[in-house]
Amino acid sequence: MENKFLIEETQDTPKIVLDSANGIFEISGRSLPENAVKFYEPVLEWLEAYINSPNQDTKFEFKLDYFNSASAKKVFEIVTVLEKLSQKNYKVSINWYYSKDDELIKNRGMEIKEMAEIPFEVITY
Amino acid sequence: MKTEHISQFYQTLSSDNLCFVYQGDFSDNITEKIISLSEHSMDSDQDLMKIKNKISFLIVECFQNIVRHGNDAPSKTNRTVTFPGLFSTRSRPEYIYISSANLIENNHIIPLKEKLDKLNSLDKEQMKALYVDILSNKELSDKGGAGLGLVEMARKSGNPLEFSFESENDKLSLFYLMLKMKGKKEEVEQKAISMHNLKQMHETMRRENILMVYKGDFSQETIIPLLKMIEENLNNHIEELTVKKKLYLILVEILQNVSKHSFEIEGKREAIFMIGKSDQKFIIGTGNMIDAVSAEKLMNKINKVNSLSKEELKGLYKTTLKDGISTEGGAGLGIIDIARECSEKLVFDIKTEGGQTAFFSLGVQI
Repeated sequence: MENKFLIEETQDTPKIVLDSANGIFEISGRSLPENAVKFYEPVLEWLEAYINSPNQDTKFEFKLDYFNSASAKKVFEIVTVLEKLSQKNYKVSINWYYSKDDELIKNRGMEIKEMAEIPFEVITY
Repeated sequence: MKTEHISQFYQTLSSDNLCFVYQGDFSDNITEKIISLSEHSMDSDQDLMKIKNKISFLIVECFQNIVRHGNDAPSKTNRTVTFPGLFSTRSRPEYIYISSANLIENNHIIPLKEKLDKLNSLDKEQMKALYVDILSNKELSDKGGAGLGLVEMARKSGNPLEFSFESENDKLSLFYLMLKMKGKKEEVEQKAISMHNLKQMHETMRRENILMVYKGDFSQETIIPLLKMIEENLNNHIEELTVKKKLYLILVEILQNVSKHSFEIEGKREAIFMIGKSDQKFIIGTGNMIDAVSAEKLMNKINKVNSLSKEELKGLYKTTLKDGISTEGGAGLGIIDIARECSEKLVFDIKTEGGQTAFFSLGVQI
């Protein structure tokens, strides 16, 4: 099992919880890092290691207020890594949350859903 | 406002470390922030930092004011005279200039001039005595200030107050005021900012509908707090969440683009940010130096993006999301993102500065 990965929210980066023991995989808040590659590198590394010994069922949640274009790319890369779980016959799904009336986040979610090859729900909260 | 104004202003402000100019209505909030700007002397680095922070607050208040009232035609409001004032702070190593312009009634000119001339004739001790005298004097003017404000300004600045009156119509005139405060450097100033410069800038901004100019540092440390404050303000004053987010998205992408791609000199990324109007629509403009090779790539990218329909743009966004090579800058998604949310084509201008570098201006219409 991988170690739990936890980063607290800052004024330009989101909260990230990757906790396989408790089945919590969540990115929430706002993602505006100038260097998204650097910020998301450890996240992607953790996920690449996780898919080698994953849980039977993985539910990943995005609850983003806002994300800049640099983060959008990284979000998509995370989705791509998770797709590998499905290819290995593990259960995996993504929930994309948007605040009611937030058309922007909703639409961005819908776009990723159109490209995702795993179950991807766009849900209001 | 047009895209060509961006490089013009950048030129004019080339000697400024930090410049903030606002042309518009002055709410109580804005006035309050301006006043608090003057509360620091210019002695320490800490003070300069505080000024910078206060200017950030001021920028946000002004921005919010523009967004809130920008579309009000004078007839829609209850104000009898809606005429924008001007506030400007320009920071150079040797001096910091704080200036303002506002309308006054013609019959107030003579008393005001007398006050200012008197003030300028006093030495430090005499000014202090006057200050104390006004403070202890129970009489207050009908505006409540008792003339303290001017004395305060004169004392803080340590230099004569420069002022000028320009007739506006048969009842009103524009009152220009300029304060000069000593900065950190002890050297003799290369080229001072004159009253004429101030008037010219005001005139240009009025004529061209330029509402706000910020020239200074655009590193992530500077823009993130700014964006945060803008967002809080947008939250308070715009109803529709989608409009708010759209505006915020465009600002984030534009400012971060500038922050990422402008030349870094001694740890600072200097660029210019402007807000203006063109035919009732808001224009957000940025300008910064980049290398000539990037300029060429950028030009091609923007031309491509401008040639696509909204549907095609969405398609390009998706393919770039999927296949774009991830660089520090997000695989080139930023420009596409901006274009998607704008009502008009992106307008840009590239001025090569002789071989290696170019000045890149971008105008985004909302």
